[in-house]
This record gives sequence, structure tokens and C-alpha cells, in this order.
Amino acid sequence: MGTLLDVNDLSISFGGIKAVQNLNFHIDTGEVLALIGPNGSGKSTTVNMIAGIYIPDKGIIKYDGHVIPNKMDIANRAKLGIARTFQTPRPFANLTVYDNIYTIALLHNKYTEAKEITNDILKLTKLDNLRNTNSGKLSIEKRKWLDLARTMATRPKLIMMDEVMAGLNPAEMEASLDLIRAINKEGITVLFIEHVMKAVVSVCTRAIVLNQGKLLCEGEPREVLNNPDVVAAYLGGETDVAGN
Amino acid sequence: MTWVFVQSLISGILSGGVYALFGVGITIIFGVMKMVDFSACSQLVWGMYFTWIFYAVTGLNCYYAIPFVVICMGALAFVIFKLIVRPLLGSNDTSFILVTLGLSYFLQNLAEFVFGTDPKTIPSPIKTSSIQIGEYTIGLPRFIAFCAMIVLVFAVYALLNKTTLGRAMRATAEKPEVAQMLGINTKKTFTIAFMIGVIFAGISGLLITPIYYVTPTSGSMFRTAAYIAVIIGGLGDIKGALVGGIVIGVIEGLVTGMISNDLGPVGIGLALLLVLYIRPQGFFGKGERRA
Amino acid sequence: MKKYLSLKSMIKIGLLVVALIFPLFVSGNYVISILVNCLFFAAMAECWNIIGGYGGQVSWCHASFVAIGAYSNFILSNDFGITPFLSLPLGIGISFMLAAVIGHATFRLHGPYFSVATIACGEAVRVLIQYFDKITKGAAGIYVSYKGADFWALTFENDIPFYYLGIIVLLLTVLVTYLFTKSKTGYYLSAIKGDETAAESLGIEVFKVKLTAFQLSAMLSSVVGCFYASFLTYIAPTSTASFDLSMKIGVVAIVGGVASLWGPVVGGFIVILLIEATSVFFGAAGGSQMIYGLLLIVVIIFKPEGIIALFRKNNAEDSKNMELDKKEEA
Repeated sequence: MGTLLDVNDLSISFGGIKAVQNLNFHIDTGEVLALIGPNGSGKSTTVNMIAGIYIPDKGIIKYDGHVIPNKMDIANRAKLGIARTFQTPRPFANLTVYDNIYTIALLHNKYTEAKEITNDILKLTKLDNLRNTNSGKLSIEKRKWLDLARTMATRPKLIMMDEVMAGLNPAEMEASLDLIRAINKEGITVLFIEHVMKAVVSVCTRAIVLNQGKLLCEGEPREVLNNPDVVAAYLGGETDVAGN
Repeated sequence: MTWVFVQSLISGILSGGVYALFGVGITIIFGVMKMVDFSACSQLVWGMYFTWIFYAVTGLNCYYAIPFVVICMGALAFVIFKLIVRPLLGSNDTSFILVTLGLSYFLQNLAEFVFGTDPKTIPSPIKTSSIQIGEYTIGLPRFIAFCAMIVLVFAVYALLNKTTLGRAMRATAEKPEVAQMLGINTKKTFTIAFMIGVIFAGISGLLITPIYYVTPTSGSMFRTAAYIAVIIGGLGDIKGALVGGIVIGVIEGLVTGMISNDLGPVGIGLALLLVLYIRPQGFFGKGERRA
Repeated sequence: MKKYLSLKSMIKIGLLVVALIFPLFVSGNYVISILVNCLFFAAMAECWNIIGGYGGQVSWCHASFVAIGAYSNFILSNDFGITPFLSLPLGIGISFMLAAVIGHATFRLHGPYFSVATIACGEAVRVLIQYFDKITKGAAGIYVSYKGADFWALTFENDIPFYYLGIIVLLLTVLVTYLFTKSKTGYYLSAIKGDETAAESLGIEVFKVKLTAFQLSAMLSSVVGCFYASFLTYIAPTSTASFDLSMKIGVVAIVGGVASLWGPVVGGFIVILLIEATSVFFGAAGGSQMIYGLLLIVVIIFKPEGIIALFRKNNAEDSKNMELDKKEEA
């Protein structure tokens, strides 16, 4: 297994505030890497830089062996197989669940193939019975799933999941974790940004921790969560540390 | 040739002053509500008609009509806000564009329905007087309008930066949710911002009554020039509206003065496209890729 | 389900048949000419709908494209004796380029830029038509040269041929719109309307898609404009290239129903007939024109989906699925 994404010395600041500083990390092909840290530690900013929404001040993002130039636009990065979901899901609210996925499947396939692929994804993500529902009317959980389902249609190699668990109850969370495992089983690498440590421990192979825009530590999820520095960073935070 | 150039430049700067004043009104509304009010050009027409009504009743010079126009425009703004803007707060900006354009068309044709299409004039001795500097002529009404613009823009600056109301408006503009938590009544702030914007449009209308005929379609030149001014200056920035207004006035003045009297709209249209190509966020807009 | 669908298409076919035989029962040109107006406005609104409805990019310069088609027709047929049918490529070409210029400047931006730019460019086109009066006869306008009824010159004794022509042009726009919505670009455009950022992040090339849709809409508008001009027999910058016409086209589409195939058709008939009716009471200027503004405000505030939504069965399927969703959540 090789390295899929290699982030080197990544930095960005907004109006003098250093949101991310000299960040280094890498993701191996096929793994589920957790990116954790307190609110405002720079997790979403990192995702946005990889996805092309923010342009980093300095640093190199290497994907699949190639350096991604800063000026490459969002759509082209997506075409390379870099997919992401949003903290607040963003369905195409004017379309049905089926069309949400079908539209994206059309990007890489002929019409008939796209149909099949859409049906497969609907089955995989268990949205089959909602296929004709207007996506604006879905519950939060189903919206998050739809976000994931759409990214599946982009033929992704890497999916960056931005807080998929937030706002879900335990049963929904369990179901979502199953879905993520199923996605990973398809050979897709996952960058898993999360506050819910139970989920991190259950699904991730490795974790990196950000604090105030800097890499704090890196390692096995359980080890990392017991690291005194991590506990200190989270202290006063609302999050349930150490995976209970 | 130089005479034509300088004279066109002067008249361009002066008419740009009115665009700037009008643009500041749009900017205040955009700054606070993040919505572009496309009905402002018809509000300007109503400002002109209110001025004419004042003249028709009292026979006084248009500048005496300022309090009357302010009150009428304020009332008009309040009604528009309650009936049309409020139901749309929180919806997307396309709806707002559509509704204000509908309102614009409605107000313009209402004026035509009520007052007819015959151009009306407000006679006054100022109308034809001018200031002579060397070989160049400056029309007095345009000069007064320009000075009024400067005064009003400074007043707005003071309002936004020195008063509690201004701070509330800026807070609402930055983060409406936070402003609400701090106990600022955002609905009230919106209402006031909208009223100020509409009053600016009305005052712009008043100031141009000595220059243009009062007709229902007098606002149409503002529909292009003034909105372009706001955009090339950088949406939501008062300095931008000021500079953009004058730049557009100058371009229009130079094109009409030196190339052809009819091609003003083409010149400013090209200026808009050019600025959007080169610097999409405008002169003073913040250039940042957004999430 | 199947039965309901076939009922719907039966109604459509029935309406078409009624429309086709309608002129047999009408005497006098007045009613027909109003109906031709409805048909052409519906067709123009259908074109507008491609970018304004399906794409959510509100354009206020569609009159410019109509004018380009109209002027290509009259200039070529009057000065060179070329049939209007052969003037179509010229109008289409110029519209394509104008749309490209506007699109390139504005489609990389979010917000009101596109709307402002279209207003400005619409105005610029009107002024340019007036300015080049050697070719366009300026503000005075052009009359068609009538040399007796001639199909290839599109000159007829009364408006009945235009009635059928109007139906054909309208069905053409509906067909093109239908094919567009079923194409890849059509799907991408709907997604962009739904959420531009999300669409981009999933790999849709937002700029290209919007530009293509706008160009298609512009070219189709110029085709409609070409035939509309022959019906009008007299065109002038104020009647074909004005902001007022752009406004009316947009209002017809929005009132009928944006992003719906038949919405603009419904809008064309309802709005134009309503304006005709009110102009009897209020006069053609001012009074009846207020209705356009008023309709736009009322529809956007109370029924943003447009009048066509009133004809639909109350989205039975959606509510059924909602229940399913709820059950699952419980």
C-alpha cells in the first residue's frame, strides 16, 4: 500500500490569525485516518485547502504521487478523485435523492451506466426507498448519507468526511459507521474528521490530532486519546475523550 | 480637443457625484442586508415626483422640499419593507432581486398611471446658472448635487462609526446571529438601513430635478450606471460606491463628450465587463475565495 | 400511476387539437393576433427558462437576443432579399457571441453580478442598434417590405399563418428545453441551481455549464425573435431591445413557473391575456403595465413555484415518502 495523500508544511492564515501552521501528515491508500482536535483547531480549514476552496499560503499537497498546483480549481480536484462532505450537508434541494446521485454519476459515465451506478449506490447507502423523495425534505441523518452517496458517484479515491456523526443519535451513529465501513471496503480511503471519539475508535486505523492549527500528535486512536497533551487540549471542551 | 476633454471630465465627475450618492444608498442596504435593492431607480423617480408635488403646492425652490421628500420616502420605505421585504428575509437573494425588480417596474408604471407621461419641470433660477472657471463651465445644480453628496456621505460615515445605531448596523452586517444575541434588534436595524437607502434614492431624485425632466422613466439611466458604479467599486463598500460613481460618471462623460452622445451606456457596459474580468470583486471588495 | 400519466398526456393532446382547429371558429384578426402574441411570449419565456429557471441565473437582457434575431431577419430580407429562414444562422451566431461575452465576465462570480451585467448589456445593445442607424434605421425602426403573401418571406395577408408558426416555434422551444433538461448539461445545471458550492466540489464545471446554458438560451431566443419580428411587421429598438421586453419575458416565465417545462407556456397565456384585459380598463400604458410588476411580487412572495404548481396534484408521492422517512426515523 502506498501513500495516497501527502501534506507537507501546509500553512494558511486569515487576517493575521494562523489557522493552520506547518502541518505535515500523510494518508495511506485504503486506510481510515481520523483528524481530530478541538473546535477551531483547523480541521475544516485543512479539508478546504485540500479540496481547493482555500488557497494555502505555503506548503505542498501531493496526491497519488503528483503535486496538486494551488491554482487547480475545485472541480478538477474532484475529478482526480478527491471528494468531501460538508459539515452541514448540502443536498441539491431542488432534486430528488435519485437525481442527486444520478447527476454526479453522469460526470464519469454514459446515461445507462450512470443509472446502474446510481442504483448500486442507493442500495449501498440504504437510500433506496427514498429515491423519489425531494432531497430538501430529508432528515439530517439521511442528508448526511446522501452527501456520502453523492461523493461515491464521483469515483473517489479519497473521501474527506467532515463531522458526519454530529447531531446523530446512537442508533443512527451505528448505522452510519456501518456505511463508512462499507465505503472503506470498496477500497476508498477515508479522512475522518470527528468529535465523537467513540466513532473514531471504532472505525479508524490511525489518528492525528490538531491543536491551534498545529499537529499535536499522531498514532493509534486509543493511544492518541490517552495522550496527556491531547487530554489537556480538549479539557474544558465539550467532547467525550478516551472513547467511552 | 483638450477643452472638450476637460469639460467632459468636469461634467463627468459632477454627474458621477449623483451616481455615487445613489450608490451609497444601495450600498447601505446591501451592507446590512446582503441584498441588492433593484427598485432604487424607481424610488428615485418617486423622489422626483414628491419634489414636483411640493413645488406644485408651495411654489418653492426644490431644495426646500428636502424635509418633505425625506418624510415621504421614509414612509414609502416603511410600507415597502413591511409588505414586501419582510416576508422575504432569510430567503435566497434571487427572490430578492426578482421582487425588487418587480417593485421597480410597478412603481415606475404607477407613476406613469398617476402623473402621465408628460415631462414635468420645476422652474427655478438656479436651473440655468453656472459657475465659470476660465473657459470651463460648471452647471450650478450639478455642483450643488455634488456638494450635497459629499456632505451626505460624510454624514453616513459618521452615523456608521460614531453612533450606537451605526455600531448596531455594522454588527448586524458582520454577523446577524451574534448581533441578535447581543440584544440588537436585527429587524429594526434592517428597517432603518432600508429606510436610509430609500431616502438616499429619494434625495438623489430631488437633487436632479433641476437637471432632468421629471418623467416616469427618468430613473432608467440609474438602473445601469449607478448599479455598475456600485459593483465596480466593490459591493457593500461606501468608499467603493463613491469612487465607482465618479469613475462611471467620468467614463460616461468622456464617451458622450468625445465619441458620441448616444454611446454612454455602451461605454459603461464595457467598463463593467472589463472590471469583472480583471478584478471581479471591484476596487475595494475583499478578494478571497469563499467556502 | 400509469393511468394518471396517460390522462395527463391526453389532456395535452386534446389542448393541442383544440389549438389547431381554433382559428376555424374565429372571425376577425384581433383575437388571433392576441393569441399569436401569447404564443411568442410563451416561446421567449421558455428560452429564458433554460438559464433563468433551470439555472437560477436571472437574465434581464433576453430582449437583446430577440432583437438580434429580429434585426437579422429584417436587415437581410429588406436589404438583400434573403429569406428570414436564412437569416437564422446570423442571429444565432451573434447571440452566441454576446452570451459568451456576458457569461465570461460574470459566471465565475456568485451573487447579483450576472443580473446587473445583463441589464447593462441589454441597454448597451439597444443603444448600439440606435447608433448604427445606417444599417438599422436607428430609433425610427424598420418595416417589413410587403410584396404580397409569400411563405419564404414570411409575409401573409392575416395572422392565421403566424398562429400556426407560433405553435411550431413554441413547440420547438419546448422540445429543445426538454432535450436539454434530459442532457448531462441539463442535470448539472439543476445541481448548480440547487447548490453551486456542492456541485463544484463534486466535480461539476460550474462556469462551463452555466455558459453553455446561457448560450443555448440566447441562440433559441434569437430564433424566436426572428419569427416574432415577421409577425410584428415593424421593429424598433424600443419595442424589441428594451429592458421592458426583457422584464416581460422574465415575468411571463416566473409567473407561469420556473424550472418547469410547461410553466412558461401557462405563463404566456395567463399573463398576456390578463394584460390585454386590463389594458381595456386602464389603458395600454402605465396602468396595465403595473400588472407585470405586481404579478412578479405576488408570485415570488406567495407561490414561488408559479401558477403551474396550482395545476399539479398536491405532490402525493412526496408526502408518501415523507411518511416512510418518518417511520424509519422512529
